[in-house]
Amino acid sequence: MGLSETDVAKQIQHMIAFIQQEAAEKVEEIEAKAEEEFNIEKSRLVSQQRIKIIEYYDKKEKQIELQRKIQHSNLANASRLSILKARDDYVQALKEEARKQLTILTQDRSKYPTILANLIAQGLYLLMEKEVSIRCRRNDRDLVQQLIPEAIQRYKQDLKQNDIKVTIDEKNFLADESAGGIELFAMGGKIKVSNTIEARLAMIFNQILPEIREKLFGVNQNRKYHD
Amino acid sequence: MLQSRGITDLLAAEKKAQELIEEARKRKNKRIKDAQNEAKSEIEQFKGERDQRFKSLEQQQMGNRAQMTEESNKQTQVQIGSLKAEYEATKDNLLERIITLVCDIKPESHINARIE
Repeated sequence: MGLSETDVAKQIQHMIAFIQQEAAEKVEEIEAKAEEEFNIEKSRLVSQQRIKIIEYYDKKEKQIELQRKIQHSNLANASRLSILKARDDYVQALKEEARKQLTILTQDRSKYPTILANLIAQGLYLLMEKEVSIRCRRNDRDLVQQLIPEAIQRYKQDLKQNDIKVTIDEKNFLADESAGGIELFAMGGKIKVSNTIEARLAMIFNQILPEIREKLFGVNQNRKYHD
Repeated sequence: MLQSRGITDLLAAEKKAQELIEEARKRKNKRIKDAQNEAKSEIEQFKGERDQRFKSLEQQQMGNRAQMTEESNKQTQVQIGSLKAEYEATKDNLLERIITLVCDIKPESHINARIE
């Protein structure tokens, strides 16, 4: 017979208990593992996505900063341009003002004749031609006619030449609104000397433009060399 | 008879044990699947925060933009204004100089043409 009934029952109880305990331990192990893997998986997913999100928003924030810089630069440019335009407008206004004053000056019968005489003489010296035609304003015609002999005299004396014939162009005149002065033609109109007040103004204005700009706007801070 | 009862009990216990382990395994798999969902909601929350932050930055930027433009225009006008003042102050002087130069005509024959 061997073992008694109670012994057998006890054995069986022990074995059952053992099975249960084993099972419990296994379950505990599985649950611990489950928790561990849960945490690993979750933090893996979270940090993976986190990195992407951070990258994404960093890029967008950089773009905003870039936009800001672009806008700032555009504003600075626009500002510079409008200031430059305003400066140019004033320079042109000055020229126009000068033109107006010169036009008035040509009405001054005490000053204009001298100027006109000089212009004629200068024209003759430049051309050094035997036949010269002068174009002037309609109003100045008579004055010019008066001044021609003197100019011819001057010319002949200085260059010791006798052959010169100066006529006024009766067919074409300078515009009445122009500031005055004369145009001289030779060789049947092929050579032209523009000695109008406006031409002189343009030439002189351009030549002293640096001086004008400096007086109006101050010395240029950005300029490095002055010689 | 006793023996068979004992064995039945053992088998039952064994079976129960397997069931418990099986259940534990099922729970484990579910738990790991849960990780995905929970991770997802945490990520959504994080994203929401970042987005919020970004949007408020954007708003701020919009506001600054208008202000910057206004500021720049104001300054430009000030500078243009001072140009006008400068112009009015110096123009008479300059005009005098220009007109003097224009009227100062020195007719001279060409140096090579003069017969001495």
